[in-house]
Amino acid sequence: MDPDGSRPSGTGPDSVHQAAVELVGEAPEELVLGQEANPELLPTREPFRSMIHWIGLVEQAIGTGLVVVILLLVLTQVAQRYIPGQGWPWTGEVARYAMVWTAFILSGYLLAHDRHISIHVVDYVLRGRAIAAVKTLADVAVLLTCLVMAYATWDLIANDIGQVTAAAEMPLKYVNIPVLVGLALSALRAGLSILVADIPGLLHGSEAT
Amino acid sequence: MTLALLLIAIFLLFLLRVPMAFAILGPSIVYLLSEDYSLGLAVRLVMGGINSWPLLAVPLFILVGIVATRTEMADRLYDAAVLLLGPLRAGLAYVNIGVSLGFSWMSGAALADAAGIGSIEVNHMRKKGYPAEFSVGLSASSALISPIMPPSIPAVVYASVAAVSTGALFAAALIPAFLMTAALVIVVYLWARRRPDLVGQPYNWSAVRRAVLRALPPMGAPVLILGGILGGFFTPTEAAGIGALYMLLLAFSYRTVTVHQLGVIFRDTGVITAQIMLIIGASSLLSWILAREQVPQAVASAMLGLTDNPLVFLLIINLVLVFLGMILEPTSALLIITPILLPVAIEFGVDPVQFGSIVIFNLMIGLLTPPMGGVCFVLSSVTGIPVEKVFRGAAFYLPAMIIVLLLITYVPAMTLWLPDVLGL
Repeated sequence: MDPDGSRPSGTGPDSVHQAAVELVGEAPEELVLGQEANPELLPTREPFRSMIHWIGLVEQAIGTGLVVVILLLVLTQVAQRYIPGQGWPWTGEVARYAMVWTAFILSGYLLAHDRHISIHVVDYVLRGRAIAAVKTLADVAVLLTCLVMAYATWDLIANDIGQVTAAAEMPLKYVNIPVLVGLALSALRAGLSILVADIPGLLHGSEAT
Repeated sequence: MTLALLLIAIFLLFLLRVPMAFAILGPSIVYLLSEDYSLGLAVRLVMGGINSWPLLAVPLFILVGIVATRTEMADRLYDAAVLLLGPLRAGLAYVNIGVSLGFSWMSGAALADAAGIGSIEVNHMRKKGYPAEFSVGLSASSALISPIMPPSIPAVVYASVAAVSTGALFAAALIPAFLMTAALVIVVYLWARRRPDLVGQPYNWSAVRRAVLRALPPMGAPVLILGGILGGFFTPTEAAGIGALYMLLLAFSYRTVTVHQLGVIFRDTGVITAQIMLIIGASSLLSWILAREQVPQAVASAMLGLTDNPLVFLLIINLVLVFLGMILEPTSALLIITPILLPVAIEFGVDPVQFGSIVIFNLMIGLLTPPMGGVCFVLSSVTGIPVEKVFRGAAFYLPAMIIVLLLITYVPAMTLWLPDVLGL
């Protein structure tokens, strides 16, 4: 029996898993919330280091919350089919915008954790200062793109003529604010990467990158 | 800025390890500025590309996949596959395929499969004496079942770009996914005949029975998702939401998910969603530029000048797509080439649903080939096996994949029969 006597030994789920483990062995562990994948990309000096760490936590929290919102709104949309009455036509629209916001808000987090989809073939070809130079070029390209896009988004917000979304009637300038914030945070991460990792890498070779 | 310069700049930035979304966005913005367009257009096009109801299925299917692979459900499915297939001769190779097939019903992304369960399988196989190249090649190849088998994220993306039914694409992908699984099983069977040392073990039938029963509740998710879509009860996005809710409730019922784990699951869903959506947004801007430059029309007239035979056209398309799959990330490749090649394919009488299956299969093969083969790089990184060995290992399975590709290319019934029967 199990220690608590609830089921005969050799017949419960644990024994099934044990039988499988005997054939192949155990599996590794997962990562945790708030963990920095690349702490070397954080500034070394306080309070900047803590500030950037906290920005990362806020990005994660908002991104996590937005995914929950998407799930709840889609489920609400499904439920409306089976509930009599007019329903809420805005649920789908807000869910779609939540997906847009998720993409932009987490863009900086992706940069900080090197999680954007990119091709790293060059890592297998170049070494030392050459790879540091490539990383610097890449970060400069990202920084410039984010700054231009952030400026364009700011321009849309500043010159808004009072347009609203079709169903939820959200003012478009508010819809664009998370996009602007995401782009600005991405520019911040790219700039930090240049200052904290790329330039030391260029000066001292691959050890610093 | 000319179109040729734009495309060269994008490709160069890809090679310089600039994140794909920004590698597409940067030169596209320069193009807009050189053509006197407002920058606000870039923001609107990028946001508009992401702001789509069918694409909302993507984060929800990612959520289903992450819940399946990070909770007790993963153990349940893995244990069932190990106990059911492990005792066979070269059993761990069949377990590798079986687990990928099982997870493919819940996860629609190859990289997630390779990075998660794929790496575990390789380690287990190597410990039991399987050659590293064979093991990692099999994990890489079987990981491709996920993006082909419904619910497939590339299928959702293609459906959104090509304006075809996601349900029809899901139905069309079923036979190719099973053919691919069968092809891998045959390769393993033929290989195992030359390895008498990998003997079978006796079955523990009692454990097998219990393991299969334990794996049944997680397998309810694909039944709910595919049954809901193919039965016409839900749209794919709604089915993804219902599937995610089912998996979360199941994970809670097992009492093995903590609040912290739940946070990680939702956070990582957001992270993968952002990775994909930013590329989708950037590619929408590029697609607008390609349409403005009338690239689809130019490609169509060039292709029609080259041949009027649909069979030759399909052969050319396959060669082009395999090449593009070798040098581009699948989602961006899918988003860039679909608006260009789909109108041409329709001119040649190819059904958009069959064309979608061909495009997705081709681009997934690119995940196994140098120089950019994403699955191979991921597996190399998580297993520590040199990437050239991973490429060599994957090459062992490529002939089988190409046979399946030719079947779905030249036998339209392979992809169109099921959607026709289901009235999709």
